Amino acid sequence: MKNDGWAGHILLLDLTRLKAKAISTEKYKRWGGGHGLGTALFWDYCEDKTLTDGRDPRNVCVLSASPFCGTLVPSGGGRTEVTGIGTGQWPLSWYTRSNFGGRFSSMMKYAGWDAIVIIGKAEHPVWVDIRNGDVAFMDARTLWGKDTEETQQQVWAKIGMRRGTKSDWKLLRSTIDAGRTTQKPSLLSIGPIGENSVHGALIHDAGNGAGQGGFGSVWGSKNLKAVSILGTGAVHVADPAGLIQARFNTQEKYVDDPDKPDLTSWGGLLGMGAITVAFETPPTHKRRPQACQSCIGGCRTRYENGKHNEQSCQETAWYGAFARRFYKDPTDIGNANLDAARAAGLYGINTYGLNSALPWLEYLYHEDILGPKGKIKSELPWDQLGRPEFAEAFLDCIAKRTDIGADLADGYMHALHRWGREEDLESGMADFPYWGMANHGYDPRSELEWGYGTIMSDRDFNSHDINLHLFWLPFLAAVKAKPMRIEAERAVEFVAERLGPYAKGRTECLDYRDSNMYSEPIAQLVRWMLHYGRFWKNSCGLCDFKWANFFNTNTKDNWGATGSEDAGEQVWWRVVTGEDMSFEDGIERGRQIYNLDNAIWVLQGRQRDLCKFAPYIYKKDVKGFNLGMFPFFFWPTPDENGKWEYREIGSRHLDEAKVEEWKNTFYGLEGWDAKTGWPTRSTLETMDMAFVADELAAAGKLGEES
Amino acid sequence: MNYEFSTPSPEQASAILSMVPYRERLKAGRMRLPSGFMATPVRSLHEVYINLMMDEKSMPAIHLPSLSVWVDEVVGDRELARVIDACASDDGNSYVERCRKLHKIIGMRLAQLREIADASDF
Amino acid sequence: MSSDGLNEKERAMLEPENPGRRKFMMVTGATCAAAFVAGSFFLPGKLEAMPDCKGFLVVDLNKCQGCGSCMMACSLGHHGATSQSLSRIQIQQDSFADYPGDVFMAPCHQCEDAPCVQACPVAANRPALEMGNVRMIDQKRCIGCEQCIDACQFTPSRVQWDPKQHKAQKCDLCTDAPYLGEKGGIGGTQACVKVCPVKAISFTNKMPDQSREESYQVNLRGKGWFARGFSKED
Repeated sequence: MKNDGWAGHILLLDLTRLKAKAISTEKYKRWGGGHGLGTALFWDYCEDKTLTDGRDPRNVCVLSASPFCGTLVPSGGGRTEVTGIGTGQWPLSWYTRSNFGGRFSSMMKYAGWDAIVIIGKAEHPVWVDIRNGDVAFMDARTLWGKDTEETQQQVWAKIGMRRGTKSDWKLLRSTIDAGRTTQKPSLLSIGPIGENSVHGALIHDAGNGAGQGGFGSVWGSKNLKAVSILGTGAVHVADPAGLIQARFNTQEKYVDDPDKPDLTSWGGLLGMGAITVAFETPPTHKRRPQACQSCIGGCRTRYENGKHNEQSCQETAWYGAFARRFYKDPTDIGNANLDAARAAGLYGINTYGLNSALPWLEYLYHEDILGPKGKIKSELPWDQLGRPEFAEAFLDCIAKRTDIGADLADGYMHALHRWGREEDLESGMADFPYWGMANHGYDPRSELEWGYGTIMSDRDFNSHDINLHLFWLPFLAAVKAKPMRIEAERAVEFVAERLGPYAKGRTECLDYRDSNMYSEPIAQLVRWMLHYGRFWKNSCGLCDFKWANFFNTNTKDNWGATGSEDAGEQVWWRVVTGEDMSFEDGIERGRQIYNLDNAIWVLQGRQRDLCKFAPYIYKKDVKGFNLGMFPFFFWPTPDENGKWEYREIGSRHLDEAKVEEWKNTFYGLEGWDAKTGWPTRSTLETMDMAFVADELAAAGKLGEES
Repeated sequence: MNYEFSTPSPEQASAILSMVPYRERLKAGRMRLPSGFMATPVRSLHEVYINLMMDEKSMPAIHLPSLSVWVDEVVGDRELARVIDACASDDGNSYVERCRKLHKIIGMRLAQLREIADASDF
Repeated sequence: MSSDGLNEKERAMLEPENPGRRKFMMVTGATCAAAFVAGSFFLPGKLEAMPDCKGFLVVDLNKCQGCGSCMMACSLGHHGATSQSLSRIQIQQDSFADYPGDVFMAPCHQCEDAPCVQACPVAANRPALEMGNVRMIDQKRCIGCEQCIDACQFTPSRVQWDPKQHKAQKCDLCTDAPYLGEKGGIGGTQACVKVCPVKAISFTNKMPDQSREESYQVNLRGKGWFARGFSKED
């Protein structure tokens, strides 16, 4: 394969020896970039794949770009994938993934790197200074303990970049042709929480974060404070004119005019262009959208109060509702919420966990179980929950392992068990439905692909593909009694048409009625989504907000970009790399990557019995509306005559025995041994993965052939 | 819009106005479309009133039939619960319109109850 | 072609319409012959009266979303590869700064009396007469002395250095963008204008006020932008 789209080299950082080495990307190209690349590198460089705690120095953490990074692929040029063994999950931490946006992956590519592999543990805190091919390990002892903003700004200063915008060209190094840039280094750093707990996130610029997986804590355990990267090179693509023209065409055909928005469009987030995704923000127009590199419509914001810059989505979700208890004016509510969001970024915490943790802890406080007089001692000012000061105090106690932070710092489930609060998982008071991770909000009992996709993988599924199209768009219309712009039957047809090679055209795969919850079509849907996600999104770097795009009211026939001849995922792969791969070829590649993931999980100790939900998800005696957090849950379903409508899915539970039967179906479709959930040799060999079968066999963990 | 609520005693009014135990809270929250949901439990009529407020940035996320049951069985205001139930079942109005209407109705009931209970604390 | 290598048109530009009002002087010993690049005609030597460019890029600093698509499109269209360092428009950001001071956009101004043109000792950087007088650098003539880079009065310099080719380059309004896939230049497409997802860059034929750098910063926001939740005021 040529180097089109690829930088051609991977950087190995050995923190134990403080040595850097470059290796060729060539043999890894079959895995795509991003997740596939990271997993293949983990497979080769992790000496002990049985590890179950990411803080072990033998863990290997990989930051991966993809051929799309640094190029014009719409909303595909700016994501960085992070892989390795995670921290803080329950009952063990799987080999897992996260990703983040911004400027980092494009800068990696311009510097000449497809991935950065981090191995070992430094003797003392370090940060790594990468400028094109020059790599230096720098002492970070004076940075340790500092927040992520201060860290980034101090590193900028050390590199000779000043704050502000307008500045002249700088040489990368002292030699005249070392390359020049006007850009600031792209930095990824950890905050105090990553240094000292399992909840650490990786933070880049003001608001890009990789939270899930606790990779900030992985870095903390390795004494790695930050990685700075500055690149002045170029990314060659196979068909430059093809890429430019496809990009022009996509914007014109699939995306809203920025100055003539269709605010009720059913274009998915791809179609909507720049739209702010944030909770409880101050009601001000004095702001700009802010986007990752190459994005066709930014979802973050920068404000007149720069302290709130780039706080969006998840980090603005965990505290705003509490802030309403103290503040009435929307400006005050917004400011309090963004202050809390900013604190989370500065401390560098994975805020997803707080979505469930904080309500659970508040419950314990009000039950007098936790507090100054409670069995679980806490002097935190719980009556101030909602003020920014409480948020800061809470984060601080986790960072410093004081108060209840001493227990929480090892994981929410670890704390729950240490405190003997197993009953909260039975009742659902502790809303951690899967792997000790917080409920994302799309309850497993209602949104089936989300729950199943999670227990069939390593973490909160967090793939909004059909969620945005089949839940959000009808929901948005329903709450305001607006017409459904795409009828239910057509909507599911649009999705089903893409479900090849497994279930192309099978609309029953989208039927979420009770009668279909444990069916083979649902299993096909889940595996399609896992495979699509593993390659087209997590390996190619296509943003989850914008992709997939199944239908789009900006186009004449409402056909969305996904799989399309002019803007489909495979089009970008072809114009960038020159490889003429079909959309379904990409799904197959995703299957291979997912199988490689599963092989690592198996080596870590995965058995099918571990792949289950928390007890309350199976509870039958449900009172009231139990389907998580939304006031109602709409989904397209057919009636007994086959007529599709958007209908409300009422309260329900998952039947544990039937879920286990469903897993049999899923394992069968994947070609895995249903007794264990382990892949078989024949399945692996059909994917040219005999080397994986060999290692599993040596560990006595190869699935039995049926 | 005018609702004629019956007049409870001061003791009844105080009881209805008070906060319920935490374990009997109603699950509710705020939604920011299309970002998602922020959970916040409500423990009193006053908190329901705040939760039902519409503003530019977010809207209430509350299962209205469950709200009716909770106001009846936990808060103890059966009369108000029936009004909420009627509103929640009104298919002629969108969810947003129903929330707006309920916000007004609950506001009226709160004002009445406070006057009766002389409960400036609430 | 006459013995001095100039055709009639070029000679006409050398001879003042009114004697004494306009003079063209040779600065170097380089030939008086015009340089031909892709059909355009360059005037040699220091130019006392440079023909005005017929097109300019103006930008809205309050609208830019910092996605860098313009930089990618520019470098891709000209070089077949994306590169921030080879982009002829630069976007600079400080993610921690207060809006609108968090973003700066630096297009070439196609200056009326372009110092980068004046500084070039070998007539490589010149207005392209048949291309709307866009100030562009002939890569074959450029000797890599970097005087044009230093001469640019703006920060960052609007002339870039290509370390592999050892040449200077600058914005040519996509006149010579072989990978653009459509006609560029004045009257054609500018990659940065067309690719910008929020339309924060615009092309105009009207020369901005040369005495103020800020005259290239305009308001491109209207009601639709406001409807998205962003300010249309400055």
